[in-house]
Amino acid sequence: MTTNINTVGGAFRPKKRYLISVSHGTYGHDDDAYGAMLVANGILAKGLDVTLLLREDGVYMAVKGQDPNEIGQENNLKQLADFLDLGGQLIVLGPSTDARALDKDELIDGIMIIGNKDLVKVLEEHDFCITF
Amino acid sequence: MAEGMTNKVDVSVDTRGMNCPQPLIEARKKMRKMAPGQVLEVIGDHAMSRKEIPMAMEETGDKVLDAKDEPNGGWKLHIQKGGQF
Repeated sequence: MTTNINTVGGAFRPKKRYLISVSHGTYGHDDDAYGAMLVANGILAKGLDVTLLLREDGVYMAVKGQDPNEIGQENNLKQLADFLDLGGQLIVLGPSTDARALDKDELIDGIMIIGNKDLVKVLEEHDFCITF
Repeated sequence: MAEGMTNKVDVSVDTRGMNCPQPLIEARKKMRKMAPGQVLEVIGDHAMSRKEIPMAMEETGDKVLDAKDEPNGGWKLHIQKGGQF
């Protein structure tokens, strides 16, 4: 059976794919970042497909070993771990990490780094896009 | 086994003190690691999650076997994993 099928009361319907794009990182915008994670994980837990795209300052969310609680900001690393645990796809925009001098080994495991060219393909593969 | 609930529970998750959607997220994380046919017990006290979790689980082919409301506002759900998600 294909995994792109969802059943309700015995009837089959296409499974919608959600793209959640986050351009505000934890720092200074922890409400946006935390809100994005709540929405992403909530949709995933309902059984739908979600891709989380971190771009611009949103890439700071994926820096491993950080503890923003120390400066009063919400730490989203647990929510990101939950996201991956629930089967979500985590994408980071390479040009955004390059512009902030972040190497891949500074980011959490389980991410996929893409370039601007691949961004169009990612957008085309999803039915809905929610931006934070 | 919860009082009045006769299902054999394989996995249990306690979501008391959590707000929506965290109870559903914690329940789903457990459910994803279970085998079809196994039973998950979800314990909680968030009223909206009491309604949301059964709806979300049934959407993905899981079966709510039993639900029990406690006098203090808490609740317990027994959900059998289907084979889909």
